[in-house]
Amino acid sequence: MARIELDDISKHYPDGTVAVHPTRLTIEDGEFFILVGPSGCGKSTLLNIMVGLTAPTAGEVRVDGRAVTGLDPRARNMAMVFQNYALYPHMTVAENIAFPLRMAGLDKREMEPRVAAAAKMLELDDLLGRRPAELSGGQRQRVAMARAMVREPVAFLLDEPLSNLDARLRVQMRDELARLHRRLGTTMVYVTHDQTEAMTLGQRVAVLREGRVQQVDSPRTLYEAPANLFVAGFMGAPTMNLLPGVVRGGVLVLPMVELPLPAAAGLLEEGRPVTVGLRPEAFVRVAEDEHVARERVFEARVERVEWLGADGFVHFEVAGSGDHAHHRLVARVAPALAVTVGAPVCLAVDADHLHLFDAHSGQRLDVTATRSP
Amino acid sequence: MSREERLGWLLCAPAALAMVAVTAWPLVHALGLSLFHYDLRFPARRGFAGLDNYVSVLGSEVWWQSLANTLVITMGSVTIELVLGMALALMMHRALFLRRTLRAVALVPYAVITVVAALAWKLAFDPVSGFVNPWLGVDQAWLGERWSAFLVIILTEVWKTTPFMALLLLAGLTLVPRELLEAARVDGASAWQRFRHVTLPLMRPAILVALLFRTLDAFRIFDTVYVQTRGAQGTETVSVVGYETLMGRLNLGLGSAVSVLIFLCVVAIAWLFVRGLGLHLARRTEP
Repeated sequence: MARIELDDISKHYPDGTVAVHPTRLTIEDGEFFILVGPSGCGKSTLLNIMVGLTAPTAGEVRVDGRAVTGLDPRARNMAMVFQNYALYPHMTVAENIAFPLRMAGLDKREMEPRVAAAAKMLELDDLLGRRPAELSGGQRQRVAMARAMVREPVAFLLDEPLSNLDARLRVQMRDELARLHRRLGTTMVYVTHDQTEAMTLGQRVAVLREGRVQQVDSPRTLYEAPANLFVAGFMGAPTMNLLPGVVRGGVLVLPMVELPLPAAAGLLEEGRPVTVGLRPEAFVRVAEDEHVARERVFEARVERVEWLGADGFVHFEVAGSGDHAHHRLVARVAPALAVTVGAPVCLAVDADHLHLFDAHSGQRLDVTATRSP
Repeated sequence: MSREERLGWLLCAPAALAMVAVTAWPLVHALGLSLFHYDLRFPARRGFAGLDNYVSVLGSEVWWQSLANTLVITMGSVTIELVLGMALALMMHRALFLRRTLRAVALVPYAVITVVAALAWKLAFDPVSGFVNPWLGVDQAWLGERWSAFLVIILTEVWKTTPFMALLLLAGLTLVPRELLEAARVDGASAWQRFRHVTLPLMRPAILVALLFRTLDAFRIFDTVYVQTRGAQGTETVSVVGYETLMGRLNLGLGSAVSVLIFLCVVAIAWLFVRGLGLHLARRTEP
């Protein structure tokens, strides 16, 4: 059990690259915390700093209030699961799981029941005599997890543990990890570049970009109120549609439609350029004869249709102005309705679901519409 | 045989023929010679001897003594080389800067011709002109006594071939994934435990290959001994015995028998490594 604090942690390399800019993060005791971002964003570096494999250039790491910055990993009692599992190829599954206990100087009698318990929990009982080369990807992943569990660490640090598995197994292991976390109640810090994993597993998620934390929040808040354009574009699939807009005469002018400004947006000065974010579900398909506020409806030509069973996504283009001749957009539609590629489709914008960002800084404008009561 | 197989054999043929000409043929020829009484000083007495030459070699004290000497030199030098070579490999592996320079410098002794190295060490240990005695403040005729002569021979071998050992071990060291060592660190292993439980077992194939190469090489030691003592002070090795019998006494039959016995010893050593220690020379494929 541990509360992990990173206090103004930064990491510079001798060649001048900055892996992590000064970062402050607190991971609560028992929390499932996710570090997510594209490759090279510094998420693995942060994890290595927590466990002690990498020394930070500045700042302090604290576990339960105790500074551990200078301590060797062995003094921190954190367990790590690596992307390639890092199982010892010359040892059997049982020996792999027992390794941390053996290093701690436990004797055979003390080790056996603990190895057996970890193996049982992860359904590895029948594989204890095998070597890693004889295991499937999912089994190796479980061995790595069992090895991490066996010495009852204060926290689990997982570095992209599912990225080497095929899609189906990944979903299954995701489920197992979530269950394991509920059962053990131990702090877990999980690094991934996959926003789906971040959204489904995390209680709180830190989104990183180029060594800087962009936002730390629950998955829901990240989705519904992204702090900036990067988070808006990174979380959610398909990604948020982004369009240039301008406030003119009390309305928000988009390339294809004009929307009434939400009440709270009255603070936006006339003529201010903004970037408007619309999730695919912010579009509603309307029939020609339906009575919707006409000014919100526009017609677009269908370019591509993705049908996923429960959802359908329509890709379309709208004419732009200036530098952008076209904007490629995606709308979610009810899959029951027939959509033909090349045919026009009528869409309405649900103004309650729009996000506004400063056109220059990309920061969220807090005057953005919230859900209507 | 398919066309592809035939082409394969055809392409191998030149190399195979060269190997037959320079390796298999001399070996077979020596084997043949070893079965004859054939002394160039008494050419008239040439005749089939059967296993007489072998009986005579294996019955002589000189052979067994030289075999013991060879084993002392082999085991002494290879053991020290393994320890020093490992230390050197670890240093080269962990060097943060001047990495390439360090590797190049470490290789210098290996580039020196053995005869030159042997002479240099002989001069260094010379009681009159050498620098070792004044440095150590002793008055020792190093090559004049059996055990100190062994020491000089082994030191020369160690100096010359440790770089080779180190390079082979370095190759093995680079194959140990960094992630495994990091995992061991997180699992609470100390530096020594990581070396003992992760690095060493994973380097086992590389260590065995290095040991095999160096053992076979050291077992056939000739030039260092020949230059430094000529086999005097009871430092004769099997190769020196073979040379003396062939070139000194011009006894082709007996000398060939010695050569064949050396060959059999080498085969036995290789067999021991491959079978006894489980060295896989072919790369194992993962299931």
